[in-house]
Amino acid sequence: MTDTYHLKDIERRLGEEVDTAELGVQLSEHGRRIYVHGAVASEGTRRSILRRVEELCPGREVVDELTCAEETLSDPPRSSEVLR
Amino acid sequence: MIRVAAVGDVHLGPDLVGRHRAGLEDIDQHADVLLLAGDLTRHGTVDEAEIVADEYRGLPVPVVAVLGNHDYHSDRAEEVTELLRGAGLIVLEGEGVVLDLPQGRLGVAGAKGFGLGFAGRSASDFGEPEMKDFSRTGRRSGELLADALADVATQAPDFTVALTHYAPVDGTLVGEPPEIWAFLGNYLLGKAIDEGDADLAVHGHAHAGTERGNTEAGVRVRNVAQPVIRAAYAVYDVQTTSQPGRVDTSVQRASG
Repeated sequence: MTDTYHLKDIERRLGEEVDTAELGVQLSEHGRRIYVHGAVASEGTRRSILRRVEELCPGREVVDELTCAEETLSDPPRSSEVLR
Repeated sequence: MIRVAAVGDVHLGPDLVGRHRAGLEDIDQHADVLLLAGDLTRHGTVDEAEIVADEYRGLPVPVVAVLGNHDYHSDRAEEVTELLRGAGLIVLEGEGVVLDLPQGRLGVAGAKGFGLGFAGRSASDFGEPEMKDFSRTGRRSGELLADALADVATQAPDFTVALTHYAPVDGTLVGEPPEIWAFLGNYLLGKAIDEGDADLAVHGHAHAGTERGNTEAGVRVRNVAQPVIRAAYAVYDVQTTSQPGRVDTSVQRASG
């Protein structure tokens, strides 16, 4: 399996596996590093995803580029817009 | 003026208990109603639904919800729905509700929706049974939203919101890979919104999408997926104070 197919297979697993269940995570490889992009629900999910990618990409450095919705889940509405 | 708060894709689980609630305790200072645009859970389990029910139980404003694809994942959607209703939420799927708020009558037409794609780039009811199932489910979801809007129209609300999980237009999908748009939205939802005289449409599902769009007929569409609005909710202040028989649909939005 080429690296590209391998990364797409991992993306599929991250969507389907119970501990991660995130459909919007994308992986890319640059200079032997695996970059993990996308938005996840919680810090716990972020840790699960990074751990799983490390398991499935042994020997590669995994770079966390994820954003986490938990950081803003309690934030109040703070700007306004008028549409006419 | 009716202040409509909306958010989708909160994906609650055991590690987020109380996290959304913390941003909702004073919601009545900002809004008169809260709309939840689906994907309230991660796996659609009964345990997660109980967490969701506790998160929104007893809020000082009415809560109206549709489910999302995650909420169906464990094949327990009926139990999830009943748990949420038991907590006082109004859960819609192909039906509408009109809320008699002190500020006016707000109609909400709700349906989860489904994928299909957008005109010229949509799935067709042709070929293998599996392809027909996909296409027919998408078409059926458009019919359900049309039914919901018709239900609301009979009750003559001052303002009508179409509430879905899937996107009714492609404008709010910009930012998502175009290759997956057919799995994120459905142009027949937009057609139902235009033909059903909705005043505003809110949806979730597209975490990497764009906040603002509009239908072919110019109905405003807002992607309120939490990763897009990056706040506990967005608020639309709906003006309903113009001439008798005609609603001024100016919308003032507050979000983060």
